[in-house]
Amino acid sequence: MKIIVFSVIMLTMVVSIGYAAVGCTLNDPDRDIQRLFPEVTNYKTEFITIEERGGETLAKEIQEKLGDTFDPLYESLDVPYAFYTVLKGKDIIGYVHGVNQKGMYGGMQLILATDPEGKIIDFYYQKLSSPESKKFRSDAFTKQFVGLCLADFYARDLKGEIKDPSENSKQDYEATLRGLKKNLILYDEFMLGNRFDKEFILKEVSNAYAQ
Amino acid sequence: MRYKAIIIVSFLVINTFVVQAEAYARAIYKEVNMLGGYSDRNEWIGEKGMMLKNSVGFEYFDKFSNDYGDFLTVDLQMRVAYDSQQNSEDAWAVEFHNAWVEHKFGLGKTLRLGHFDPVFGLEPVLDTHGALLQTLAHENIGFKKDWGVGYRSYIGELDYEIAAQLGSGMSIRHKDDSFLLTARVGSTLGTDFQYGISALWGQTLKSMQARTLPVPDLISDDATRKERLGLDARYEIGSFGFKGEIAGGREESQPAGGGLFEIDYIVPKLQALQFKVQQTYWSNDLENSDAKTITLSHVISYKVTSYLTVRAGYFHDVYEESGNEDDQVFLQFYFFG
Repeated sequence: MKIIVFSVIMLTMVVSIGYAAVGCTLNDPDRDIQRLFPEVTNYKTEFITIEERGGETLAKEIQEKLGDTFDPLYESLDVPYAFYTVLKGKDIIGYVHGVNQKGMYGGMQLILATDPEGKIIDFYYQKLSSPESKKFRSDAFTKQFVGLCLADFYARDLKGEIKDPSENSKQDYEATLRGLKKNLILYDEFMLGNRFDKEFILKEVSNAYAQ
Repeated sequence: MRYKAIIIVSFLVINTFVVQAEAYARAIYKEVNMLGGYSDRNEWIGEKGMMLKNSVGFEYFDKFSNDYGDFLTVDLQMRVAYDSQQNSEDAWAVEFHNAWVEHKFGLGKTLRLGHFDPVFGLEPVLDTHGALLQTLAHENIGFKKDWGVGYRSYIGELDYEIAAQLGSGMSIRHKDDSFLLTARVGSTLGTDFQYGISALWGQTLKSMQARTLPVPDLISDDATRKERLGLDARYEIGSFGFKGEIAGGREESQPAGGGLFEIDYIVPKLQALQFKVQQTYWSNDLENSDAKTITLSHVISYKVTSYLTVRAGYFHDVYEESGNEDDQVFLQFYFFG
């Protein structure tokens, strides 16, 4: 009897708190973050969902910025996105954040390290199910994203600039670009307070061409 | 009384740590496991081995930080389970799975206290909670998790972990000088090929049921002496995943050992669908060729949504030492989200 009462109390507590789907966290955050930021002393972890920050309305905005719709299996609104704020003492020296993305052969996990202004410092695949994974994981491919920010994904034709490293995995290449753009949009939305406004950036580009 | 005191002190310690802290990394997952099957030997059954029963539960995961970053992680994962093999009075039980507090002393230096995986073989690097296919942990050690203390760190490209635990599994007790010491050194996670080398030394207790409360009866009051060395590896290529582990050593004075091999396949065009085949071999007396269990398992898994998975499994005992070979089929609805 005591067990049943105890169980009901525990479950009631849980039901009242809410729930979330499973997101993309770093496998080994201490090691990964130290590799990305050698001067790090520690980091803060945050889990943020689209559901809690704006629900359907925010999901619609993000999909418009992305130019694609969410996959219900990989991108449900209750997926908690993990953001690691990298610290040196009390000072913020960067961020690390990852997303799940549907690939050709299964889910991929794309991890970005960015500086506090939103510029990519490093990019790697935490998970990639591909027979050509070595080509995708190679520095020759991943280092081409270093220095880019969300504005570049909005305004430039990155498919023309960063070539597909594979021979038969074009879908994984396109999924990588989509996943990185999604990652940066979420980072901008949740951590940078919408610093990179898509409409503004596109107008600037359009004006530059007009001149 | 002693255990109540331990629990109260633990809560006080946790409270002291977290009272000034911020918690932004909180995740709450509900879990419902509905499982049913048919066995040649036992006809209709409602549980898969000792570890997987019809149950409801939750996982509460939280990280606490201050201005200088994260310093404490808490994970509590428990179930209320119905054991269809027991009479109605004993059928309901509380199971603690993960129940630990981890304190970080610096980057890559973490001390864990509570109920967690012994660091041996594949079990500490795989999430088998709720899965029809398990690792060798239950055959090899006798349980998947144990109460105690562990330390985790890394050197160069290698991760290492050591743990000192009670040797009692899900229930908290110490009897006949029971203990369990484990250590594992492995490659870093997140690469296509991963491997680990493990060692185990201990005297473990064997319970009649896998549960925390009510405290289960022991099969024997005597602890079983175990010494093991193990190797494990995982490899992913395209839609295929391969897993394997072998372990060998002594069970009391007898040579004991076994292995596991598993192939997983995700259907590229329908990634919610996955096929798995696993073969396990275990013997607690390698000198006696009849003292072995060989099982071939097949599982089809379909992820209906991000939090609901339906699985069907067929389990065939190729050889069972007591001559009780069985064939089992299972259907499982698993909600986690």
